[in-house]
Amino acid sequence: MVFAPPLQKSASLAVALFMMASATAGSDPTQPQSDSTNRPPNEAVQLTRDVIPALTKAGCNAGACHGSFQGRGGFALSLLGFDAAFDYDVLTKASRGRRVNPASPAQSLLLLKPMGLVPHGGGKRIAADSEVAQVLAKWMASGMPGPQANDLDGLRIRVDPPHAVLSLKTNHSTQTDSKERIALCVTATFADGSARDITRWALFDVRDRTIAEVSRSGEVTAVRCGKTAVTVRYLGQVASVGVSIPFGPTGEFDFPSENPLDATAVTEWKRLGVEPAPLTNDATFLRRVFLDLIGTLPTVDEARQFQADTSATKRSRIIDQLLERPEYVDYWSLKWGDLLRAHRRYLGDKGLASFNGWIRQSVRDNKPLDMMTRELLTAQGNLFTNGPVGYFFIDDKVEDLAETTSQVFLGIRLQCTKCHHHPNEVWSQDDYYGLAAFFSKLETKDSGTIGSRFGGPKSLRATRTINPNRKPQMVVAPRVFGARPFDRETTIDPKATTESAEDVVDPRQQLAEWITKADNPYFARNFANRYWAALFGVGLVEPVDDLRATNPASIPSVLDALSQKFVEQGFDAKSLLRTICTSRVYQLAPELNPSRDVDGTLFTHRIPRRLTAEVLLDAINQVAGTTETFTGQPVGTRAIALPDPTIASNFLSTFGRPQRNNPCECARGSNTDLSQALHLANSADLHGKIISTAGRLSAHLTANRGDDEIVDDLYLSAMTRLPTDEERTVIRELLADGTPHEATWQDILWALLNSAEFVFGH
Amino acid sequence: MFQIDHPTRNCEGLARRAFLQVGSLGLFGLTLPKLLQAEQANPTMRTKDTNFILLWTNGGISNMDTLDMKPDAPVEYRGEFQPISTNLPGLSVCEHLPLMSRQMDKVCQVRTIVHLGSQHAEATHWMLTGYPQVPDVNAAPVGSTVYPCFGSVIAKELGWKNGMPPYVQCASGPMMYSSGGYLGSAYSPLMVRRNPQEKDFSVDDVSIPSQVGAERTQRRRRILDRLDSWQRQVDQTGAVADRSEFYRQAYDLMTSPAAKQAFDLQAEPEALRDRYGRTREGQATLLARRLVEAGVRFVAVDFTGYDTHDKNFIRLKDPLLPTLDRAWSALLTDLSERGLLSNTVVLCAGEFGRTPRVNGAAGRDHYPLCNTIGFSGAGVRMGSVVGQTDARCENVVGKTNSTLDYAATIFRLMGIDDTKEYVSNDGRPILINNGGHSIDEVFA
Repeated sequence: MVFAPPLQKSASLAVALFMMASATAGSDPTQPQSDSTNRPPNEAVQLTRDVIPALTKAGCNAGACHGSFQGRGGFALSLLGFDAAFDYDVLTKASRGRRVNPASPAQSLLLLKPMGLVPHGGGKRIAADSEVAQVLAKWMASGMPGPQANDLDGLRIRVDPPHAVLSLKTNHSTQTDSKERIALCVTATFADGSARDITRWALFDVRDRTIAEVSRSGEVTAVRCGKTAVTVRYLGQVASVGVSIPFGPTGEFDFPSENPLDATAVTEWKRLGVEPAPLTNDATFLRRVFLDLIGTLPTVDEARQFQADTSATKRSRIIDQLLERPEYVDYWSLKWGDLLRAHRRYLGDKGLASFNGWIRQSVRDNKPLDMMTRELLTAQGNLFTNGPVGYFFIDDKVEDLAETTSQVFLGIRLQCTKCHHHPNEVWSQDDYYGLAAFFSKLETKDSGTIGSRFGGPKSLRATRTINPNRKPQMVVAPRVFGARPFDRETTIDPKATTESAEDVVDPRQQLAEWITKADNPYFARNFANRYWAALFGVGLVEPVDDLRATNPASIPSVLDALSQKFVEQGFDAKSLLRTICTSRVYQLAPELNPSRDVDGTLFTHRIPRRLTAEVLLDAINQVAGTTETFTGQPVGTRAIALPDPTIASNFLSTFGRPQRNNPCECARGSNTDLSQALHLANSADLHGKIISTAGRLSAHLTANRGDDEIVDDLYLSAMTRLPTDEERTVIRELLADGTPHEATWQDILWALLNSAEFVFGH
Repeated sequence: MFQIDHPTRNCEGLARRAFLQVGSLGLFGLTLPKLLQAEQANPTMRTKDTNFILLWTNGGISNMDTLDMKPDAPVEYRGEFQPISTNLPGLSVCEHLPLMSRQMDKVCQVRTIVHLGSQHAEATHWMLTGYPQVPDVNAAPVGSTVYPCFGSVIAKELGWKNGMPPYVQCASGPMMYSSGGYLGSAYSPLMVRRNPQEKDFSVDDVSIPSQVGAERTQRRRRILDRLDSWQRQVDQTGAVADRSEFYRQAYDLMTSPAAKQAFDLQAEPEALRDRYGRTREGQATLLARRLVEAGVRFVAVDFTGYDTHDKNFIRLKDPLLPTLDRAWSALLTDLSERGLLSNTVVLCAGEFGRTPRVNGAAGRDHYPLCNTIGFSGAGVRMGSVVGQTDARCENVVGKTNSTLDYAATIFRLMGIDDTKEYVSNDGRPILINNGGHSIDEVFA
């Protein structure tokens, strides 16, 4: 195509480029700039430090634009500029260098396109007299110097202030909110000691836009009260700035507790001006702790006993008792089975039994989690005699093993870095393939597809050299996170892969050591957060398996305290659960109509959550007095004790049982949907349970029990509480309306099983 | 605007957060299901109001024995069926599609679609979502993202209409990869599992069980309203409010005369029911038309049994082709007579074609390199053939199209902007369609 930009605009561009002024920190460099400069006028423009940040700030290399793998309009840059050498070739050489014009930068496509002077799919991105345009022009004019290997050595970024507290004051006379704002300042330091204000080049995002907004130039504005974080990114470095907008002073509240979680939570609540809900009543507590710890409703007898117990320590006692129940093993083995994806599609029937057997044994023995992790990560031998070997059959590609290991044990989602630098983290492809490399010195023996399905032998052993079948796409020395390209001295013995001596240890040992070390920055936090989330339904960090600097915990001090305690207790899961359940934070009442902390992320009150598929099905059967029949399972097998999701159940699929093909916590469906509503309200199955002659209701009616006795029993079994006076009145009226009693009781039981109070944990 | 659709380039876990934000919109009385409706109610978002009926030839139908016959190929390729002429000059189809041969002026055959999935599971994922997938031996996806079926994307983009759910599937069990994928179960189809051919046909969980009855169902709902005081106390945001909204929808569906009417095949004249064929598939196709009339956006009808590794000709001759011939032709004429062909797209497709050379068991095996499909209806250049295959139907000659092109074609017919970005359940940004170009020749 022939491009002939309007002369006038071209001329004004030339004038603008002559000015060569630079914008102030905090301004938007894609917009026309205002006044003074803060860059020495003669400093050379570098590709890595100047041009790529400029392209990034203008959005050129974003995933939806030229940063996508296909590029746009035949022009593909590396995503967010993480590959400078690639970008250099693309900019200067690709398409025979048609995009650049060192002799006359103003006539180059690199400027004409984003300025909208020739047709551009992405529209006008930058102004003619913007700093971005100047940087690009100056770079071309200076002969387009390429990237240097050490350009980014030792790069670190610092944001001031590290935390921001903004206020949102309502002016009562005018009924308007005055929104406070603050400008962030980002400084980059390099290995050579130089420091630059790069605020205008950094990318800013805010995690919750309904709480605060951040401008392209780093100005944070309060929107509503609450807590969120601003993410700052620059050339592969990230930082996070906590933003608090307190609700204003609270009343005095009394919060007596010796639990370390409580003290830290109170400090944060006071800072943010939110008040905790009162301590929950015994009935709600009992139902909560049963469902959370053993995935089971309390029986009528258990509910009555607890209600009658007057001892001051009854809550901590019931927690201790529940941790020793057989259902505890079922329920937490189910969770571990989900997390590790125990499934016969990977392991075969026999292998699944072996793997599940190990999980159940570990949960029963309360094996410390660091020991479980080491057993899994270093397992070898025969799957049928050594369960944890299954870990290496569930994922057999080294890349998948790296992703799973990182996500399960460290709470780090590494998937992005398979193909490119993580857009929101410091992790690079080197981290990804460095982790994958730990798994390439292994050899499996099985009898193929037939073997896995029909139970042929399966075993795994370590090899001395890299198994050519397990070579990752990119071969680098094994190395763990934190060993960044910039400080290679922390890399774990890079020679481990190249040595051929007999005494070379299985590199997985080193990995397992590093992961489970008490000072590993992720391991304890990951499991503390996972167990917290299992109890509260929401993690301190959400998503649960996405721990990173740019995704801070909603109350970081509580996660710190919990993780520290978990380390002190030797990674003991039951102690961890006990710490949480005995805290007052855990025992707060559900606040049905909160005015502050509405979404409950500060844990000032309990957020209702739908019972999970298996727990709900078991609960329905327990209340109805029926049993579920699962194909191939002994009569009376509970849903929480099923070995894997191949045991068909329409109910469980409808309510979101995970298929165990993804290690993500999100694989379990926790939403409500139409099919669930239809199934509970209208399925012949549920009706069958209600009217079952073997069921609870039939027993009552056959025994001719009194109405009050029946209603108490139904409420205690379904809601773990006695009916209110109002409910008693309603039921009395229903029983007197002329409909046969049996049908009325069935309809009442139906209503209890369909009520939100039953279907939700609270 | 609604954060749930906000384009984001982050690997952050926005999915859940976006959900929470939608929940918080409840402050203004907008809960998730209402939001789904609000999306469709906003006239600026869409100009078209098109429906879609998918006739899914599950197992993979042979092209050479149906729409793309090669009478001049050697006998071990062309098989035993003879071509017959159609109402489209120059085009012939199989002798066992006599009714369709009079409807070819309403079909746009596309012969250019090629993909690489040679097993049912992966091929189904290609052809129902547009995206590749690598499942394991049991058809379960291996660690990777499961994409939403076209019907689920359409459900998300268009939402409910006239109290009818957007996506319904008529199949004895869910078709592989036909659910909401990473969008979650809210966009999975409402299943019609039972055989509509049966006399006492009902829809599980939608039709009120006979032992309960309509009156008692209403009584139960009144009892629930009176007893579930907890629900009323909870603030009207978040999951509890969503649930009550879904219950409202469920009751609408269970009790609305319109929905009941839509599912009631008895209301159709016997002669018309005969025209569709007194088969499960035929009656399900008729049901699809009724559902579309009632407000359903996307109906998938499962035609099973096309995996003809042996006895290909015997099985196609009876019952496979006569069943399809009746249902498909009756649907096209019926829609046309009712004027519905102008706002309904009909697609007959399967996961792949079948091998051109007949195997030793007189069957044909899986073959994704040639897979003829047929579009009809709204916006389609009917009575045309796009692309061609070689003399033995072994390869497409000239330009081929990817399944993403095919997906783009479907979305364009439905008026859906497929350059939009969703957020996967693990928080990654994913395009509805990653770079497919719609097949221009399909469009009128």
